[in-house]
Amino acid sequence: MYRVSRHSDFGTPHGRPARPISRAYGAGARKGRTRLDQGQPTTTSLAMASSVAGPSTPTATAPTKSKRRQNPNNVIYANPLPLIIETRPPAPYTLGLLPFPRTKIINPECSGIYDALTRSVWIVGKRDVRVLWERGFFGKGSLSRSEPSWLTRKVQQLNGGEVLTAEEVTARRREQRKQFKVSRAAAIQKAAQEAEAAFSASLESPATTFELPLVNTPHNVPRPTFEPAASKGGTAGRPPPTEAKADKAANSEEEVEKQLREQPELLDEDQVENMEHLQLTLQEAFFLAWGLGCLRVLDRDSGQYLNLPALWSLCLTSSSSPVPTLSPTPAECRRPDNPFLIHYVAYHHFRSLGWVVRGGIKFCVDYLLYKRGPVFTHAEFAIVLCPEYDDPSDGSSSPFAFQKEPFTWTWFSTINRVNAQVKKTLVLAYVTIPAMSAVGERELGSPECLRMYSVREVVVRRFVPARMRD
Amino acid sequence: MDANVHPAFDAVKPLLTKYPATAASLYQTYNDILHAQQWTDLEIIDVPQSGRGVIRGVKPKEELPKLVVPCDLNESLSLGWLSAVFDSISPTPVEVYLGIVSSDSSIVYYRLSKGIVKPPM
Repeated sequence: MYRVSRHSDFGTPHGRPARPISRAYGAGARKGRTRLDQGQPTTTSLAMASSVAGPSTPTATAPTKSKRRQNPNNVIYANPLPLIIETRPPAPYTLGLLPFPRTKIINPECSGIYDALTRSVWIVGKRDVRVLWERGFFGKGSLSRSEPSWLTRKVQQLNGGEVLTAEEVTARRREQRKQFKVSRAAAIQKAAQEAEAAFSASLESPATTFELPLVNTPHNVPRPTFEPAASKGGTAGRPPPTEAKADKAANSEEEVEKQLREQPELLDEDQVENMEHLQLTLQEAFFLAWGLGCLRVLDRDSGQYLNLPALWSLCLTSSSSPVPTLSPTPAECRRPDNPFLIHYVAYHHFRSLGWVVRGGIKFCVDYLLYKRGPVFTHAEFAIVLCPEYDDPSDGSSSPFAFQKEPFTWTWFSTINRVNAQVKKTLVLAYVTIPAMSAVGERELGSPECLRMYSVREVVVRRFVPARMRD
Repeated sequence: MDANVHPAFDAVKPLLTKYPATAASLYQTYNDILHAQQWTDLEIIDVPQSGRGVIRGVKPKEELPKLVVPCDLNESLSLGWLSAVFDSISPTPVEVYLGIVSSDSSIVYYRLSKGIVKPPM
């Protein structure tokens, strides 16, 4: 059933220039599931930045065969991080002996706005949105499934054309599936009625033997063909100009001009107000700002960009209650079991190993890990955070309302079932929260305290002894 | 897009100040329903018993209005709470959508009905 094999390069970041990009994308990537190491506290590091070294231009990783068509996704999403590391080739006359640095880091320097209501960072600038999405899949379009595509869909809808974003493709697939189910249900019902009719006919004349009309049993019902739903809008509003040419020669040009003028003006993306922004969670925003240094966050009230200490304390107080008088208050948030800290430790840990980490609410988990990105394959791992206290007494004094030990079997079993259904591997990430006595105010005031946390991954799979013998 | 000057803000503003605990989820759900899901005839109903505003609107390609109850991921709900939601809206709805908002702006909608509902064939 499962072949658990080890990829020798599991955990390494992207950028394997020597290998051709063959079946890295598409459903073929499911082969050879890997298993994370158990019980090894992994130290987080930013070594990934240096190991992602390599030529920045995507053509350097293109296969050498000119016949093979490059997947456009590999060109668009070639950079795994917003920072691009460029190595200039050594000038021939220096023979590589001169000690001048040849590696340069290009920082896109994006900026976002902190929104106090939603407690997230909004990226509004068009260029910044594309940079952060295309280089590392950070953030989510606030009105889209993942990639910010609302404006494209709106413009296409207003122009009456066919829309081909991910949302529309999914909508179309669901529509087809629904129609198939309707016709299948009708076929089943028809088969049942025919069987009934045949049975009652055989009852009336007992001499004849009753034969089940096997041809029409549900299993043999031929897969019904469905008519594709009428395309939205269509070209009803635009008469083809070729009709005018069929007219008599004298008026043909005037007719063409008149029809062209009557055609509705096609809207451009610049003319429609974009109601969507790219929304970053605070973990993503802090990772970009501190871990990579490519994001600045603007505070709307003061109109100033937040420096890192201010951003850190803003992130900590984001776990406080929206009602100022209710617990937890901002003062109470200075504790090692702050949910922001627990989430950030896990986020930083997996990101620094090269995984693309995205929210997992659609699958009842905390995070989903993608090997290259949601554009390439489905997420292979579903991460559930299980915080555990180093000092058990800290749990009783905690003002935060997150699930604490012990975790119930029903909860665990539900999540396992959901993810087994969608063929994802469930991983429990145990985050150890240091004791309050060990972490002082000074450490909590900066990311210094993160080194005291540890993350251990445990892979879970349901074992059915009767079935799993191969 | 500023939360304070966003056009959608005006429609929900009174309830955002009245129920600050559920303001974020109401705002994000309203935004999603209005612009992304493209429901029409939207109105916000104040439901004090559940401590939040509930959105009522008409789904595209449908005629009867439906209800969406927004909630946040870190809230804990109980069956009593859910049945109170049904009882506190008049006329008693057959089904409601529960919109659970995550901090990355993902919203998952769950359809809740009172009692057992046979799934369609």
